[in-house]
Amino acid sequence: MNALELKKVTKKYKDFTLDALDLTLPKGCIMGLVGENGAGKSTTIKLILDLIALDEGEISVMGLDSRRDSTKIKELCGIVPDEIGFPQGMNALQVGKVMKHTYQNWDDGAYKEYLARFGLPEKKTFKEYSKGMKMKLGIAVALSHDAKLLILDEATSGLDPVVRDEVVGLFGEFTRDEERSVLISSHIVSDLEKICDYIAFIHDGKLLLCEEKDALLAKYGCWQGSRAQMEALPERAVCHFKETPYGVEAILLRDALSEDVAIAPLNMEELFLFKIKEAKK
Amino acid sequence: MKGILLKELYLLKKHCGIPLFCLLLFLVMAGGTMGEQSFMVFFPFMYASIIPVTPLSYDEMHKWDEYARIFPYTPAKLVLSKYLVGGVLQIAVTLILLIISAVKMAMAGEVQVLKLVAMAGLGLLIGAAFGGFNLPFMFRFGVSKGRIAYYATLALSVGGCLVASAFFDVSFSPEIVRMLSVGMPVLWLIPLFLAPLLYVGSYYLSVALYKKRYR
Repeated sequence: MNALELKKVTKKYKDFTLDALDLTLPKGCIMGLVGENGAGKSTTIKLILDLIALDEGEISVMGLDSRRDSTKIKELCGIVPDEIGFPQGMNALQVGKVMKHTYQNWDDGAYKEYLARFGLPEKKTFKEYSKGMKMKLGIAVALSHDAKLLILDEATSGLDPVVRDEVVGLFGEFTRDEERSVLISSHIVSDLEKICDYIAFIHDGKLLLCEEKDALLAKYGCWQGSRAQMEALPERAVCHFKETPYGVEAILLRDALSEDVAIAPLNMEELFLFKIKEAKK
Repeated sequence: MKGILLKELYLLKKHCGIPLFCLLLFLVMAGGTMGEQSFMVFFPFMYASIIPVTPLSYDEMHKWDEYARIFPYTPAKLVLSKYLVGGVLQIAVTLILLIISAVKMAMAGEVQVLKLVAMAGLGLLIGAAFGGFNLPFMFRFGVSKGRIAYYATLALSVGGCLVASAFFDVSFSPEIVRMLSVGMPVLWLIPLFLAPLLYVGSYYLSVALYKKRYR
């Protein structure tokens, strides 16, 4: 059974359509959902959680139907949206008490450990927390009820690089148990590159690519050289290039190159930009 | 459900001190003027029924209304928590006013049970109608837009009561009480049954509208 399956998922708005999206996240894996602002990442996540109505298609989460079993799904998922909205006058201890009566599998010990690990004061009100602290509290709640699927919507975007690195590492820890999976949306591609097993690119409501990260790394590589050197390469090997004052940077297809061409590991951000430019043609 | 109710209690404790103090003030005024001016007796019921609007407005201000939807709370439970706050406050108002009235009647020499039942029934009915009319607007359009309905009903009901009391004797005169208790004693019970029906009906309407709001 897959952690997540989206089949021909469609949502139509006046000025935007999420168009027949197909995605599969196997158990025990981390999938990064990459896209520009307004590409459809949050819409996809809202549809998975049944927060907005699905127009066409099917979504199953841990084998459960997203529309029929949405409350059960929310029990099984740890969800961190881009904005955490606990009542401003509540402190972390009160949040813990509310959550204890919200989730069947709430683990008070784990919650207190996360509070200590993130350095979150238990008695300070939510109003007094910084943006990063608010996000960390949301993550602590999401991780403290034995969730099987963690869904994060731009959750790391507002964090400073040190905290982001720590939090991203936590998601890796989370999937050590093979029953657990993570779906993380972000436009910070470098974060996703570090931890994801699968990468999905969305652009303008359409899925551009959904592949294993290792397969992408085996398929493409980065190359730097002069314009003349690039023109000497087989034409079909050059997927995308850009000229800089220092020469040319390109994404090359490894299969189309001879072994003597020195090629560096793929930069996912470059691939993302290449795919978007290709889609815009 | 326990989780949401606990959150409501924290919110009431933190932000609803002034509304709850005002309710207490209205109760004191109602107790003091009981038997003289009917409108004051019923005002605490109206006021208690819309106290849930205060936590609802804080929910919206703190974006809890959106955030709560990621937790395993059904829309019905999210709406029910607010109706329970209003319902519990209305029952508390009823009990307090019943006790004050009974003590005043006993001091005057006669406890009129039918009059007490009528007061409780009418009070609950007014509260259920007032809250029951306003809350669905709040759940559908949000508190800031929903307040328009609130001010309209407040103006209509207060104005209506003042006009009515200027032209008619709306107090329970002994003649009316005697006439109704001899002729149609069952009439006194109708508001007691009607009030919960109205409130429950309003709850279901709010759930349907709340679901629409976010889809």
